[in-house]
Parts: sequence; C-alpha cells; structure tokens
Amino acid sequence: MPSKIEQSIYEKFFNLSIDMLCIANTKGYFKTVNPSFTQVLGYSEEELLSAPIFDFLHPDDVDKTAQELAKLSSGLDSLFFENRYRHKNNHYLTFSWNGYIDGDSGLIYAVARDITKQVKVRNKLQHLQRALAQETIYAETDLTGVITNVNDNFCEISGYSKEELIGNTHKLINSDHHPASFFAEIWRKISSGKIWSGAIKNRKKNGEYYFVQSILVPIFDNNEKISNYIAIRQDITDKVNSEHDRLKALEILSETSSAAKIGGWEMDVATSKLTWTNETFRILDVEQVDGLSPMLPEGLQLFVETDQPIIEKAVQRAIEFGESYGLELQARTPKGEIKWIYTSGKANYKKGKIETISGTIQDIHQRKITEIKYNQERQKSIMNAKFAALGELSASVAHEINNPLGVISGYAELLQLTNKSASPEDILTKSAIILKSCDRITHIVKSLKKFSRSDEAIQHTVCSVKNLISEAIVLTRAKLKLCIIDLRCEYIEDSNILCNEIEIEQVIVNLINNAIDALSELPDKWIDILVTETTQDYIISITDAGLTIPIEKQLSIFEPFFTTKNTGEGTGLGLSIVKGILDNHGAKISIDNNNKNTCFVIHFPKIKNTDSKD
Amino acid sequence: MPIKVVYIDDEEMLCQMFKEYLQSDEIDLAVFTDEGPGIEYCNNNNPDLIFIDYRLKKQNGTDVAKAITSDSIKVLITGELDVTMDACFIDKIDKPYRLADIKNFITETVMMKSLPSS
Repeated sequence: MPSKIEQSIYEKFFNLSIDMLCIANTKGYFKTVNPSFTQVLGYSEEELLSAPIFDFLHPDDVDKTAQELAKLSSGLDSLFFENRYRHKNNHYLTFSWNGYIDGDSGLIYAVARDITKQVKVRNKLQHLQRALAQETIYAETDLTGVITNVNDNFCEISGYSKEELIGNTHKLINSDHHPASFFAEIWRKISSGKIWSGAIKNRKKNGEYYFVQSILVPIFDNNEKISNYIAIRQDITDKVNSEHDRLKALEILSETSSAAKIGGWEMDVATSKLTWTNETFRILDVEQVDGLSPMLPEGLQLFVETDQPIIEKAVQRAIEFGESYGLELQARTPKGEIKWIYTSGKANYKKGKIETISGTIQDIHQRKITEIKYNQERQKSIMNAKFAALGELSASVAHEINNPLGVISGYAELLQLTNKSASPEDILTKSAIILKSCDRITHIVKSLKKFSRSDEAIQHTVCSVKNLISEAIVLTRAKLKLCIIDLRCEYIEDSNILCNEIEIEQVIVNLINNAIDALSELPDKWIDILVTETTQDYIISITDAGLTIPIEKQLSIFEPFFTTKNTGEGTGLGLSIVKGILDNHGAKISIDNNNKNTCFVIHFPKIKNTDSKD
Repeated sequence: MPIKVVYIDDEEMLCQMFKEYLQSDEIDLAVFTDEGPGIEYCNNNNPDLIFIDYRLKKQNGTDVAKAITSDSIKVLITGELDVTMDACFIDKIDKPYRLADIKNFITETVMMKSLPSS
C-alpha cells in the first residue's frame, strides 16, 4: 500500500496532468477521468461518466474504437490509437491514445492527448505531398545524389522505369546541354541548405530532349543536418519551344526587315529618347553603342539641311496633333553619304495622351535614283518625241507651204514680165492671187506655231471640238494627201469643251498620224472622225480601215515606249503622251472592241455649270 | 516646130501661171489638174517634155510617169522635202520654182535631147 504522502503525489499527478488520464471498464464506460478531460471536451465529469464512451465518438470512429477495445480486452496494449471525440460544442477533436488493461481488475488505464492541431498540419502536409506526387515530376535523392524515389510523372517524361531510375543519379537524364559548372553551382547551393530553382534541359531515354522548371529542396533531419533532397519539376518543353519559335520568328522578322531594308523606330514624347531597331542603325549608318540611345535632335540632324525643316515639322505635328506622315527624304549619314530614305511616323496614344511616336525607316535609295533617272529619261524621250513629231509635221507641211509659195513666186514673175503691158485689172487679179496664197501660208504657219508651243504654261480655254478637229486636219492634210487617204468627218456644231487646245489638237493629230501610218499597206484607205455626245461627254471616235488591235496588246499600247511600228518609224511615246494629256483633262481614251476596224474612242467631259441657254 | 510641153499639177493656179508665162510660139503647153486626162493626152500626143507634180489627186507623180508610155522627157516637180526620184525621171525640180528657170530648163533640155539624136 502506498503511504499517504505517496497517494497525495499520485492524486496531484492525476489531477494536474495536462494529458487526459482515465480508467474505463471493458463495457465501454469511463470509471474515472481527470480534470483535463472536462477541460478539453467541455463536459462535466458526471456527464462523461454517465454515458457510454461510444456516445462521445465520431460515428465513423465507433467501429475501430470497438475493435481497439477488444484488442485491449484480450490483453494487448494500445499504442498511438487515434479517434475523434465530440466536444460539447459539437466539434470534434482528435485524440491519440496509449492504454493497457489491468489483468487483475479488468479495468483499462489510458492516457489521451489532444492532437487536433498536429492532425491538421499532418493532413496539410499529406495533401501537399499528394499534390506534388500527382501534379509534378517528383524525385528524392540521398546526399550523394542517388535517386531514392520518383513518381510516375518522372517515369513518364523521362521514359525510364522506376527500377531504372532508383539507384541511379540524374546523370542518366543529362542532356549535355549544360556545362559541368552549372551542376556544380546547383550542388554548391543545395548542399549549403538553400533552395535552387531554374530550368534544366534533360534527355529522355529515347534521346529526345525535354525542359523542366526545377525546384531542388534540401530536407533537414532533427539534428538540422541535410538528410536528403527532393526535386519538384514542371514540364516546360512546350513553353520553351514556343519561346524558341518566338525568338525564331523575331530573328526571321529581323532578317526580313534587313533584306527589305526597313528599320523601325520609336520616340518617347516625354523624353525625346529614340529607340531604333538594328536595321535603322544600319540604314542611317550610325554606330550602335550599347546603352546609348539617340535623342530626337540628333535624329533630325541626320537629314540634309533642306529636308530638316520638313521632318521636324512632320514630327512636331505628330506629337501635337497626332497626324501621321510618310516622307521621302534625303539623309546624310555620319560618314557624309547622301541616301534617299522613306520614313513614316504615327502617334501612339495611352489613356488619351500621345505617349510615343513610332514608325519605319526604309532605304529607298536605289529605287529613288532609278526613278529620278527614269523621269529624266522619260522627259528627254518626250522631248525627242515632240521633236520627231514636229519634224514629221514640218516635212508634210512643207508641201503645203511650197505650193502657195510657188504660186506667189510665179505670179510675181508674171507681173515682172508684163510690167509694161499689164492692165490694172490684170495686176489686181495677180496680186489678189498672191495675197490669197500668202494667207494660205499664214494659216498653216499659225497652226504650226500653236502646235509647237506646247511647253508654255497650261491654259484651259473653251474650245469647240469641231474647230480642234479642223485644225488638226489642216496639219495632217498634207500627209493624208500624200498617202491618198479618204478622210470623212461628222461633227456636232455646238460642242464646247474646256481644254488646253494645243494639247488636244496634238492628241487628235497624233491619232490621225497613227491611223495614216497604219493604213500604208492597205488598198482601201480611209479614216472616219465622228463626234457624238452623251449627257455628260462628247465622244470623239477616230476609226481607220485597219483591223482592230488585239485585246492582249490593248493594255500595253498606252504604255510609254510600246510601239507596233518598225524600228526608226516610231518612238512609242505617241499614245502614252496622248493618254497622259487626256488623263490631265479628266478624259478617257479606249479602243472600241465592238468595231471590226481600229477605233479609238475619246470620252471628253462636257463643261460643268455652263450658263444655261434655256 | 514648137516644143511640146505638158504640166500636170492639181494646183489650178500653178497650172494657170505656167500657161500664162510659158505659152508662146516656141512652146506648145498643155496643162492638167487631173492626172487621168493628162496621161491620156501624153500617150496620144508624145510631148517632148512632161512636168509631173508628185502629189496629185488620186495617184502620185511616179505612178503617173510610169503610166505614160511615150518616150517623152519626164521631170518630177515636188514641194516635198524628201521625195526620192524614180529612174523614169531625168530630173527633179523643187517647189517653189522660178518660171524663168523652167523656161530655160525647157529650151536647154530639148536642145540637149535634139543634139545627140540629130
């Protein structure tokens, strides 16, 4: 028997213990509970002793508790048995039990501890563990890097079985992409107790590569020493590949812009700082210095002096009013080379404010130089064509002048011959003939003069289509006669148009001359000129006996330098000039495909807002 | 015997003044503004000398000269700048011409013709 003092110590221990101590019988009733029970569960001692223990249990735990009781009754100890008790407030607490049965009394002596908080932490860890195992590529290694555990995902992505992996190191899946120093650095970090994360390229069993984003975590034991490592990885192969594709696309874009000689630029409105693409540096021949961005004033100075105000104004207007621009300008590179470039710019808004101006810059030097040369050549050719046309005209007009000149000369000789015998009437008649011949020459010379004065400033005046055609016929009559061509005309009397009469006359002369040339080999030679009208246009049709122009040639005959004539017979500029002149007048020239003969049709707009005559 | 001369030109006034200036006892002149009657006349009358203008109403001077079968001396008259002379002509006279020169030409040419043949 213990002494009273001893008994008092045991009672104290029982009553003050934070652990829950109890004695229960095998029928499932508490016989004695210490105060801890009432404190933890909220029930009074009487309440706890008066009801069967099972009444306090979570319904799901009743069976296993009954089994555990049976185990105890058979004389076995119960260690770390867990079940849940209902608190008086109706929530459940998890207890961990250690107990044994006293063979003599048949009573169960048990100690319980409330482990609700630990269970929560444990559950959280378990869920995390499960999530990692399910969703990541998971592996554990020992301190030497030998794999001790892998999940299915690891096997699936690497193509190796668990058996192949466990016992091996990660060298098995080394892609040889990373240098040895890369892994040395990883080891240095994790062996010093830090977490490493980064992307690693690995090789599958079949040789293919895969990329993983990895987190390598050192795990510590109870002595704060690293016991092993775990690796959590995510497959980022698709992401890496798409990034690779994106970089590739960027590279292609860069190559394309380099090939097209197009650079890009952007200017921050607030700072005037310019950002240029590589190609822009290349086009402007500016040395690219890392970390140094050109500023707007420097950028503007890259243009030749005469162009600087133009670009400056355009940029200013883009900044102030958001106006876009596209300009062909000459840049002067830092090396002093003059280069034609095309530069565009547009404003970019952010929250309603112009924040940046961006655009392109394109090297158009070759094209521009070619264009300038072409225009010069074209101008020269047009001049040549005019001279040629004038030469041709002069030749045929010469006859028209020489005939009346012959009459003048002849009658003057007659007057000299008969200076004494001639009657006054005779003199009058002869001098009248001379004067008439002079008038004939004057008329032709006037027409010629007008025709040749095509370089003067364009003056549009009201002219009658009928008169224009008549004048053109005067100039071509000689040639028509030489070639014995029958020319028929049908006019509208009242047919006024607004035009540069010299130019339109030139057009008609050109078309008649073309028709004459086309008829040279034909037995039946005729040209018909017909003027008709619609409500909007006067239509001048010039038809000759030749067959219609094949449709495949119709597109090109209005192009400069296209000619169906033999070398030396035509410059090929005639119809292109004709079209150019008519375009300038808002008139259209076409070929009438419904006509079996060659028929050029000009639609000339009537004068708008004419004074109404009704 | 007067020299028989024919002038074919579609310009009526030229024909008239030709006639007025050259018609004389020494020169028997016939003028035609239409080539058809001109050819017919020449083929029938075998003139010594025929002046033919290049540009006529329906034909050109070369064709007219070839249509005339007589062995008359044929001279091309033209106001053109660049008409090539066919071999059937012995000479080409450019317009405007002087009637005095024509007169001299007639007498000289016919004399030249008559000299070797006589």
